[in-house]
Amino acid sequence: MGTKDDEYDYLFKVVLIGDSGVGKSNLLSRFTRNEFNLESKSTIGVEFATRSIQVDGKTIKAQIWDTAGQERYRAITSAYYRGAVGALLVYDIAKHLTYENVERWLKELRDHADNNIVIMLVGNKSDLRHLRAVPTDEAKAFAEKNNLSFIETSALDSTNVETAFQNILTEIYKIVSQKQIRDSPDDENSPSNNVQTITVAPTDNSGEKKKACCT
Amino acid sequence: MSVIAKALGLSLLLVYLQDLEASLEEAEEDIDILETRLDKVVKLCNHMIEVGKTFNTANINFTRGVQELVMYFKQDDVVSQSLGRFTHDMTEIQKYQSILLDQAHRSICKTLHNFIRNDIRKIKEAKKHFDKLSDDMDNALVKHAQAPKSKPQEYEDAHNTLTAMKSAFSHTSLDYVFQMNILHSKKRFDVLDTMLAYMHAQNAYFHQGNDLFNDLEPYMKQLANQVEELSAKAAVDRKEMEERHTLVQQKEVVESSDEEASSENESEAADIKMEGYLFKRTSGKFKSWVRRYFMIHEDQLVYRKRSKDNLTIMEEDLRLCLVKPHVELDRRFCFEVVSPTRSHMLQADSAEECSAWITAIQTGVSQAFRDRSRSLPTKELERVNTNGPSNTEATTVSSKSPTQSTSTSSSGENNPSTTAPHPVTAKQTRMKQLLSIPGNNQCCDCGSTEPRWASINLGITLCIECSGIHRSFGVHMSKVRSVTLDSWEPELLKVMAELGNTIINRIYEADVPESSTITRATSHCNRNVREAWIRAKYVDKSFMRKLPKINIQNNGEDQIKKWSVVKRKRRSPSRQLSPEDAVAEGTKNNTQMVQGESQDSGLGGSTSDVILFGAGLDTSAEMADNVLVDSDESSTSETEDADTKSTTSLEDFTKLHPDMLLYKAAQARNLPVMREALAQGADPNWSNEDDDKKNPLMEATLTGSIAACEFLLLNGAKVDKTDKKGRTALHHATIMGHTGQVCQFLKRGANQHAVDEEGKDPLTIAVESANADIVTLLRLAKLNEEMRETEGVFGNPGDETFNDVFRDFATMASENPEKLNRNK
Repeated sequence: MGTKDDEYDYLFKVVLIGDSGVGKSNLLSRFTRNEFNLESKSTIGVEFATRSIQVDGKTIKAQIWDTAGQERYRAITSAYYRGAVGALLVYDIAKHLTYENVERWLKELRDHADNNIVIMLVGNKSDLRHLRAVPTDEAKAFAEKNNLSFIETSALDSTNVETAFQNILTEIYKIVSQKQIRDSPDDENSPSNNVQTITVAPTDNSGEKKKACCT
Repeated sequence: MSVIAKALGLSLLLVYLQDLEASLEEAEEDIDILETRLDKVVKLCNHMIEVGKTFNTANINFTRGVQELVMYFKQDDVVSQSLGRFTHDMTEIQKYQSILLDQAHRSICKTLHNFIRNDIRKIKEAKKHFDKLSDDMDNALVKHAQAPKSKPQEYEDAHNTLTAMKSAFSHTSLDYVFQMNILHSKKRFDVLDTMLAYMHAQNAYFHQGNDLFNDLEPYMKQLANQVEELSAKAAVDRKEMEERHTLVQQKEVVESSDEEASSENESEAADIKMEGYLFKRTSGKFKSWVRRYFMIHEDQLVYRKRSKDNLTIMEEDLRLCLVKPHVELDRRFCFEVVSPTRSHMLQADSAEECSAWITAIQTGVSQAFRDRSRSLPTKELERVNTNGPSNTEATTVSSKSPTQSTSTSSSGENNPSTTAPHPVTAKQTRMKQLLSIPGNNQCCDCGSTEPRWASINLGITLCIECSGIHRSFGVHMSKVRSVTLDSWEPELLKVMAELGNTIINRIYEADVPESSTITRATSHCNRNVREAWIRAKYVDKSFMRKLPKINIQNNGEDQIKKWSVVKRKRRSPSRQLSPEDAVAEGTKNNTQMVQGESQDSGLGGSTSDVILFGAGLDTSAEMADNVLVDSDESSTSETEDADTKSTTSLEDFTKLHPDMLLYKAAQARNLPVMREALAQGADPNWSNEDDDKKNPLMEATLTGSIAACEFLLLNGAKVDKTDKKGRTALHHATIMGHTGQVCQFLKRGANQHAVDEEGKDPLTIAVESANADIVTLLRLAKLNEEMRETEGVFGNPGDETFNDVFRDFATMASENPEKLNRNK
């Protein structure tokens, strides 16, 4: 951390969910550190990483929560989803069961996350072409039916990893910035509102200052 | 073959010329075709029967279902009768169907099958025989032809054989052709007969059905008429209901506006009880709107998700709130509730409802003001009374009335209709809980009733006057909080539950001399008396008993004395709510004085070997007596409490000093003894050289007691001290898997980067032992730290999620510790 991406206009919390072993942690490490580890261990509890990207001239800092897919490594479930504005629901294209369980994960999101959370269905390990068990069309149709965006990625060869995160963050940005514009008069009237959000609104003084000194 | 043909031509042509218009091969082929066709028919028929049977069972099941429906309509004669009749007829039809299938099976399958089996097979056998003979005939002809002229004997033989062969062959072929002819004629009538039988069966089936329905028809017609009547009636009913419904709605509108008006007019008496669904804008990033059931209740604005859910308090004290309509927003009918720290955006369903809510909340605000101010004059009255010489009668009278008025106003039941059962809010529960602890219903220092303040590090409740004096001594002596206005973490409540005024006064007022120059404070005494008393009690500690060490020295040393601290047992959290339990606990303690060899004999001339600390604090016995206290506490881990020993290990009497007492009391998670030790001057950060330099906080951590840790932290223990192995209390909590304590220490800003002598920080340890909850907490705290660092001077109050999650964990650790006790 501690690099120059400390300044940002928006901070979005995004959770990585999906069955154990589908490659969530490697997607995260590929996106945040450009690393991949074939022998990574099961995640215990939760791991965090951040990375900032540019959307529409704004700096967006993604705080990504990589959760444990395995039931016994998961703590209080609702904590993972609180405040999350995006979710990458990952399955393994070579393991059909991980795709079947997508429904279960969607239910968990419905139970614990904000109704407006942006969800992207991610078929990972697209490099395993010869072992494919989930046809792209099928997953795509499923995603459409459930109003999710869809992408196939490979953390191993980097295919689409960047795009996946870029897309979901852009989508979130669009929703949040629109809401902010629509509801902005209200924010002025109650400055105390800012206490509750971790977003530093573009109109905020501190945000201006920070941007001025670093760009 | 050509030979055969010739032979046939020779012999057959003679006798059956007219039958041999078609060649034999043709005939055979014809039979083959017949066989396959018949086979196919049989197969199809079998299939049909099978499917028919399946249909039949399904049909039976359906009928059975209808029969069950009849049972449901038992009371309704019309329906049950007609349904009964229908099912009866349906079973009849099923019977016919099964008969039909049976017949089809018998007529088609069996007959045709037999035909194939017997007749066609016979032909096949005949053919085989014929084939064989024609082969033999061939051979005979060959032999006959081969016979050399030179050997007339052989020639003769061959000729004879050929003749015999010829006659046999002609017989066989005759037979064969005969068979074929029979088959040809038989197949015609057999097939026709079969089909006729089947058609008969069908005919019978439909006849039966026809008869059945002929019988049923008049009934059905009659029923159709009835049904028509019924539906017409239902339509009329519905219309009536609709009319009534609209009437009710109109009435409701009228009533609600009436209510509104009345609440405006005579808000004095009105029980402001506005309830209803509103949209609430969430505080999250999306600012989405959710629908919740809101109500104004006991000077609070509360809401819940569904009727079953617990109430969430949106605003604790309406007096601090301001309500105003909000028009700037994109949505209609919005209004805003603003308090010093927050602002809530709410949306009603209509303009009327919106204004009704605004009025109701405004009325609620002014009502809340009146409630509080009404209790104040009585207090003042009380004070006026105290100025005069204390007349006991007057005191009791005057102290009684404020009790009533304040209790009613504070619990919010000052409306005329107290019958309505109000949901108990968290604040009320908390107050009940705190005041149910022995002694807590009266101020710890002056005895006045209805104490509304507390000192959290002493574990006592206070009246407002005494709390002011406590405050003036500074937070190192007493940390004062309001029972009603401040927020209370669950772990603080646990500390309070472990102590209480009765116990504390047994420590701090253990020995009040009769002829003291200091006057005991009373509920009506003036400030000087009060202050002098409190100073003597807590600062000078004038009324405390000394540690029994001194007595030993007086006593000579004929016996080596040992000492120990009574362990506090755990109890389920629910029990601490009930005052009855607390009383029962107290009496139990009184009776359970002495246990085993720990015999008591007072201060001087003791014959006992062991002195136990922790009992006398809860009874009337003297402090140094060996009485057992048995008050309990719940904590994060239940499993670890396997040691049945009720006391800590015995310690040599020479080691009895306040620091060691605190240390041992922490081991026993015995808060009263810890309080005693601190009052005797123990250093909360003392470390035991004989035990890896661990300090009381670490000992308390090992026991898993959240209250004991909280108590030490409240009384000056530093969270980041390390022992000889370089471990902090956070290390120990992580090693023990005590999630609640990890949460507790992190909340207090414990340094999680501290590394022990093995080079491990708490996170490494937690990952090694795969403790998901602790890993989550540690990583979350780390993330929060990093976020705060990057925020720098601009100040972020900490990640919202972080605060939420930690609050959840803390609550769970205190209220449902078993939920955190997983995967062990």
